[in-house]
Amino acid sequence: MPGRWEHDLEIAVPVGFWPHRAGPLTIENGCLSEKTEIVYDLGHLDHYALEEALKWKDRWGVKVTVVSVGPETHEEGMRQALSLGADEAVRLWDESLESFFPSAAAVKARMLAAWISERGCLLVLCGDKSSGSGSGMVGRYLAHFLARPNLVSVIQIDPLSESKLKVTCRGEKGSRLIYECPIPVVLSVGRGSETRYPTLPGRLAARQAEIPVFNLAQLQVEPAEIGVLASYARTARLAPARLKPKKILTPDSSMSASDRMKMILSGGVKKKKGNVAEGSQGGAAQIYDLLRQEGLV
Amino acid sequence: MQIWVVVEGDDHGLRESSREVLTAATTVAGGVLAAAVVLAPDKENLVQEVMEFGPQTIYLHEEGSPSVTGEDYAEFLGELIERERPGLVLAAETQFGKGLLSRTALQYRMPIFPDCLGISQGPESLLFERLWYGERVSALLTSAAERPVLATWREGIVNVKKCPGLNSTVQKVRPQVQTLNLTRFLEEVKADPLTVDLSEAEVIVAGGGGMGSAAGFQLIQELAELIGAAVGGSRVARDNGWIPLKRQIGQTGKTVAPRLIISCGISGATQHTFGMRDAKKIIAINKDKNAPIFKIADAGIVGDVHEVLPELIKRIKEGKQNARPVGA
Ligand SMILES: Cc1cc2nc3c(=O)[nH]c(=O)nc-3n(C[C@H](O)[C@H](O)[C@H](O)COP(=O)(O)OP(=O)(O)OC[C@H]3O[C@@H](n4cnc5c(N)ncnc54)[C@H](O)[C@@H]3O)c2cc1C
Repeated sequence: MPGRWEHDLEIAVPVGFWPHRAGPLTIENGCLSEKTEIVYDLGHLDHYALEEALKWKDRWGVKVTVVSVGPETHEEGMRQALSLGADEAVRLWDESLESFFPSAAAVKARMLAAWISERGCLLVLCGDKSSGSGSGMVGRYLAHFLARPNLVSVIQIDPLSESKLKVTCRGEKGSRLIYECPIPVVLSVGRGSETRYPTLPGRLAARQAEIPVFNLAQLQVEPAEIGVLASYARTARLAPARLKPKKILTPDSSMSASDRMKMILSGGVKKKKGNVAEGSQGGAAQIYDLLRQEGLV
Repeated sequence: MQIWVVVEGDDHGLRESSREVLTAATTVAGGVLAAAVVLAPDKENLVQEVMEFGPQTIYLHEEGSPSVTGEDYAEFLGELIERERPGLVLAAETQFGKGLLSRTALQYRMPIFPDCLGISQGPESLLFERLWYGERVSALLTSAAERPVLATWREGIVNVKKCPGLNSTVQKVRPQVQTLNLTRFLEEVKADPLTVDLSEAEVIVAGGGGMGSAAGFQLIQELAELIGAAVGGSRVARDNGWIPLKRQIGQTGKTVAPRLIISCGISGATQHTFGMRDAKKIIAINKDKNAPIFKIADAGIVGDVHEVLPELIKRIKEGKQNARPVGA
């Protein structure tokens, strides 16, 4: 890999700190209840984004900095990231954000963009979706504010040259989409393979680390601009998730009663008048022809 | 409030996810949809079908190209929204739908609510229902911005219902396609059919009780490998240990939607066919000519799988041999 990167490249990994996916969670009066001891964790996909960044650190010694928009409780998550191998952690927060957190992806992205452009991180790896509001919009907004390209569902990142990457993304039907993209870029990382565990020296260092905080004024972001972005989405209330709606078979009301019965009895598969052939020789020949039509043989 | 839907199509016509959004949006709109935006080529009566949902206006892209990504249409959609000022624009939570609406939202500074499970009228404004915290909490959100709002609707949760009898006027449009050349697409690597998740498989060979034994089931494996298909089976195949649970098709297994499924020695019980109702083409082999599977098959072979399959495999192998260039 080009030697320049070893010293210059800094990867920013925006992370969130959210109730653990398997931990207890209760809702009271439209808010998260404080009564149950909530177990927090870095965002599920943030783990994978951090892992990709740490792989680059292992190979080329680049610097990895985690950055989070959130209240003081997020510091524990940032220390978790440090214990996994991140070099530095930075928190962005302003008292004025309290009222609409955590729904405002645009607000978070605006603050991250301010810090990242000031700091000059050329590569930004974030989780495809947060484990909070899970809108998948932070990466997109961030790329927009930074005027950089963005790819989503990224599962592998390989350097092609000093200024170009080969990026593999998850596509539809299990396929992989491969792109070439320039640096600087914002990549939204999806679920990948394994992630690492913290080391003991990592844990000790993380406990000592200083985590600086930057507010709106320090980031030179106008509160008015944040106000507009915050008006995009407001949380009205929370409720326990209702049973996931699932599509069921409801026959078209224009069908006759007997047709509706038949449809339900057939499990929704439409009755077809396919031709039925007999005999193994003829049968095999017929299937062979069909496979040829489909381009499979 | 005027509500619009952006629909998608493919080679098989209107996409199911678009039918779902058209249904959901009509309910939110209280019965009448203001407009549908069709950016897909008019294949398999796509436009005709959109009309059955009764939008007042259909903005139809005359020569919609399926190769254009959603994001490339963002400027077109943004301008159209700025001009006509609908209150809410919906699309399905697909790559195309999400790409298009999120880019439009960014470029035109409009609020967006991705992956909604429901939209209802709140006391002051619309309430958007989304899932938070790893899908465990339902959050109701509103927008206070004085802008048109965009939202994508989760796939597979709405029962499609048409409202025929309403009239639509078709307005042809010619979108300016604006491609953002920031990244370059290199290639698509298709999934390995042998390892891909069954629900994403394009072609499936499925075996049931009629395969008789684990050794008999090998025929399914062999055929699948030859034609590049994924292996699936019925509950009986799973109970016998011929396939793992993740390869079982049906009510208690996977729901599959392949282009083609070859069903071998499977009776066609509803609990099984339930999981394959979205299969495009079904070929069935069964020795019982009254087996229910034949009622839903596009082509049925009444015969013994232990005769038909070896014969078919032989033909395919011969075909491959003959296709080999001379001297290779
Ligand atoms: C609550 C519930 C949930 C269920 N969920 C599922 C599910 O998710 N998936 C599922 O598959 N099932 C499910 N079942 C079971 C389902 O009802 C059927 O019992 C099952 O699908 C039958 O599998 P089969 O057709 O492979 O086997 P069988 O019923 O044993 O049928 C074998 C078929 O192969 C044919 N045959 C036999 N020998 C040959 C031969 N040599 N050549 C050609 N044809 C031959 C026979 O004519 C017969 O039609 C469920 C049942 C219940 C009650």
